Amino acid sequence: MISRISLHTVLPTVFSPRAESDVWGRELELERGKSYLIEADSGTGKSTLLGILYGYRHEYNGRVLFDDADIRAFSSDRWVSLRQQELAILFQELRLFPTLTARENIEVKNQLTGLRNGQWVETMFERLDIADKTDTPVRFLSWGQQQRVAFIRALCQPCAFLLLDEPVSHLDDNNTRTMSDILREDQQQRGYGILSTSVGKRLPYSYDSEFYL
Amino acid sequence: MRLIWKILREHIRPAQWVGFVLANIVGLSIVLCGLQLYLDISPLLNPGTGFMKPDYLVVTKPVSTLTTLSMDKPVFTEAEIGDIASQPFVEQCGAFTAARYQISGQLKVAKLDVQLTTDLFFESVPEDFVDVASEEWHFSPGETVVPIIIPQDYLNLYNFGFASSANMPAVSESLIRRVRFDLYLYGNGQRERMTGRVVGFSTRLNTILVPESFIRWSNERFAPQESADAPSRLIVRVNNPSDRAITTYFDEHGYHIDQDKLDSSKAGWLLRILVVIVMCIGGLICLLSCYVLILSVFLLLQKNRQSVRDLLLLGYPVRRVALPYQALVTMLVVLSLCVSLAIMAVARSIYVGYLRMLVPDYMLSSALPTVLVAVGLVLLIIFVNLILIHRHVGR
Repeated sequence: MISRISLHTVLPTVFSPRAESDVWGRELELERGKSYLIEADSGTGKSTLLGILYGYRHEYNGRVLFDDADIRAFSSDRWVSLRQQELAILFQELRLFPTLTARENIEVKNQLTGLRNGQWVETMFERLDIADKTDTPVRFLSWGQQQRVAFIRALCQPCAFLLLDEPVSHLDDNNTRTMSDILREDQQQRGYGILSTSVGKRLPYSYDSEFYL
Repeated sequence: MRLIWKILREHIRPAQWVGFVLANIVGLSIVLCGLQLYLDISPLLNPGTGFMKPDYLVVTKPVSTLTTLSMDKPVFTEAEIGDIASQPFVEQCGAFTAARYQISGQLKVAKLDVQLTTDLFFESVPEDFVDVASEEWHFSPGETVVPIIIPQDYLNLYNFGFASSANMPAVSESLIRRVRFDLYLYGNGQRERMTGRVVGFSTRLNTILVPESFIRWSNERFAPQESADAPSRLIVRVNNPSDRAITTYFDEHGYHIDQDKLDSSKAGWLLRILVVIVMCIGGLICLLSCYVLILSVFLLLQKNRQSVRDLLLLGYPVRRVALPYQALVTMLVVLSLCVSLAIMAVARSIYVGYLRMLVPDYMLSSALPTVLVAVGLVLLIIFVNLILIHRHVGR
């Protein structure tokens, strides 16, 4: 299991260095078990950063290390294993499958990892106030409802780090709080690190560090 | 797997796949039918069997007016025989040996008070070339009965030409076999009466044939002082009558061979060429249908690119994402294989009927080679598709 993610002067190839950024072009270390918030303005590369850490963006200079291993050297099999066992993500664009129901979208991930049981999934749907939508194809759900489905899906795998890309951008305050509570309980239970991003509405959480992108 | 399929089946257009399956069935069926037809007719065209049996050729030199006037005999020299025997298409070469004395045959029918007498000639060829199997086909010095084989054509000529026009009864082969007639051999100041008996009819040898041992014995006895003439006719067994080198060689040397036999071998050769062309066309259709299949798969992958990418980002390995498409392609290809094999079986049952009309004792060839080729071809198509799909998904 990864215990530390280090960024060494990482800068996307299309970006120019900016003095005010705490991340791009700097040394940064993220530890498992801790929580981090990345505040950003639009277009400053927040999704790019998560894309680099999740292994689907490769256009950058500098080095990213998982513990002491440079992620550029990882094979596709290694990334498959990381995405099944060590990295969980909630994409900004959610990446749900529109033809599947909300429950099936969760199953697609859970079948791969086998982490959660049906009871847990039901409870999550109830707590996030979408229990009546479990058998509805997600294309008929609002963006906020879809965001909650994607959140449950992200929790359906063992991980060392959980990456959350604007997780509450379309949620009301109640659901935002619920999501925070669920996250807190789960992190305490499993001990992973959290890296959350925000362009305005932030996930209310007790962050260990906050960075400006 | 069910959920993956539910995601990835989007954008599948049945018409596209039906098109592929139909095209592949047409292509595969043509290839398989062509191949099976080739295998089924090959035994009929090959030397040694079948109705085209052109494996023996009788070679002569042409007789021209000049040859007649100059009294030259159209015979083969030893060098010429050696040259023919050394050709790669020649398996065996034998010469006709003629009797060098006078022979007359006499048939008496006492009841009708009829006596027919005619001059005859005898020839022999090496025993390997005789196409009539008869227990009576032997001669040892001291025996008085001479077995004779006459051309089938002679009997036909009599039955269907002479007998009908002269109001005579037609005679059967078995009747002629029962007739015995007198033979008078003259030469070397000797005269001997022997008994002749027709023991068979040859479709291959156009002569009055007696055993080689008889010719050897009788020539020594009735014409010992005459040296053996060079043979005027040769009989040649060729390994592949459709070999074009045969006509080329004999044409170049100005020899004459039985044209009809060669014509039938040309027909065989043409038939093979036709079958090969048909198979090539089938192969081409097959190839094009596979191209359509690959394009369809790529198009589908392109349309479902987002879903494929999302599944990979969720942590699904390439092989699991590729699997549904690979299974689909494999299923379609196997389906077209099964239908094509069924079509081939039906087509075969139809044409075998015609072949049996031509050759009543025709034995069916095995369909196993065709099935193996079909399976091999299909495995190749599947293998190529599996690789391409895996690569495309992984990209």
